[in-house]
Amino acid sequence: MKESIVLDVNGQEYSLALESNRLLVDVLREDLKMTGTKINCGIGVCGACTILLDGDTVNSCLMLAVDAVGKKITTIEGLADGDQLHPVQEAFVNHGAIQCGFCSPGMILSAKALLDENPRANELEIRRAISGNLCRCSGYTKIVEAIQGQTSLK
Amino acid sequence: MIQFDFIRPQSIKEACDFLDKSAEVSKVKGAGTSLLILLKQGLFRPKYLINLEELKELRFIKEEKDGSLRLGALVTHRDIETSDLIEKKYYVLKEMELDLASVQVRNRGTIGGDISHAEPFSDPPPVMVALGGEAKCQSAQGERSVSFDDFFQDYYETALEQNEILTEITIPKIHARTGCAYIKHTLRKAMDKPYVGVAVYLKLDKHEPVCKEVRIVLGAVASVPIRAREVERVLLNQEIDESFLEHASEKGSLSLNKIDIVYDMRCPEDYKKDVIPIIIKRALKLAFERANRNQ
Repeated sequence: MKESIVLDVNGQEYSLALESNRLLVDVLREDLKMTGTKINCGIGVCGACTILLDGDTVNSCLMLAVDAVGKKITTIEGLADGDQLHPVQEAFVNHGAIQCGFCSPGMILSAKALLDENPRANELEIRRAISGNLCRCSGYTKIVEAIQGQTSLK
Repeated sequence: MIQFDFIRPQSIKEACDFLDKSAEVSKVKGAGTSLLILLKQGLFRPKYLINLEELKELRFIKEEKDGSLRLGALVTHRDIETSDLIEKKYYVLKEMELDLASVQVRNRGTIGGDISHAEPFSDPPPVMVALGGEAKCQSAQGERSVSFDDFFQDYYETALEQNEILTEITIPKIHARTGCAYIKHTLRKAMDKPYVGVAVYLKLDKHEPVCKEVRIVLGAVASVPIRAREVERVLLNQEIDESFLEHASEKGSLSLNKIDIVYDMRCPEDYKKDVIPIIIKRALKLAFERANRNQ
């Protein structure tokens, strides 16, 4: 049975009629057409589905859409301001931290959440913060450097 | 994904009442970070999913006057990881969280959910047993406390009755001259479940380095957390130093051949048997250091 809910995504409210068993990641991708958030492992170990919930990173593949009611959801689509990339996105581009790009939305959101909470994070803290985001391409070095580029500004 | 009716109780009483009437066809959900995986796989097909996540009354970290710690079941792993009180007075709980899953999982996953789930390769259960904690189990009929010594009964099975909800965890005060440690042995640097987890509670005599009380609990080895009682026996009432701890770990671990090592597809049984005495030794040394510093 469908219920009417409102989801706050990237600062905008969306009224949806959803079955309560719909996963948040599916609703974002299929109902709201925001395909930046990826589906990969489905069991909360890879982080490709990472979104921000009230500023904290969570795996959207392990959430029901109804669990997100009343919270502020931020997806990767919510970072750029029109054509202007968010500083973290800019850093990833400039440091060559993006190869195939599949992990990037989740990785960038994890980086943003870290920097919002701990703007002077050291390398160990950075690596801990992104340990829930798997990257099969890069070996993580450029990703860490991109994030360090942001911390060294503080 | 299976269909279910999503029930949103407004209080723990409402949740218990609903569960009481529907226990055989319901599942209780905290954040659902473990449960959703099982639902996706079709392992459970509940008619009702009773959502506790909104119950703020169950999300608290409180130090009581007697120095004991009370954790509401809906406290998240991240709450524990970032609590100043816990860092200062119950550091082993923070230690338990530092390498647990990922930030994403810790931001939502709850300590009550983790413990109720009783997965064998999980970090909290041996720590709860080592600290001598208790679980509050609530139902429509009332509440009861169960010691963690008795709480974990088999893999994925706890002392919770079908109509009961774990609402709170109590950890007794950690006194002076007591040191606790949790070491999680993994092969990967991150995102790994323990191959062997060792939680230690070590209490020394007021003045001498003599072991007055010790609990050494192994996780991820058997289907439930188990005490390394032979090692404890070697240590009890003995004067200890680093080399005695090593001796105790090796001597006591000889009895481990009798343990039923739970199947772990990542490594053969022999690997765990070889590694257990080493991790016990490391955890004991850490707890001993902390006991000495904790005046």
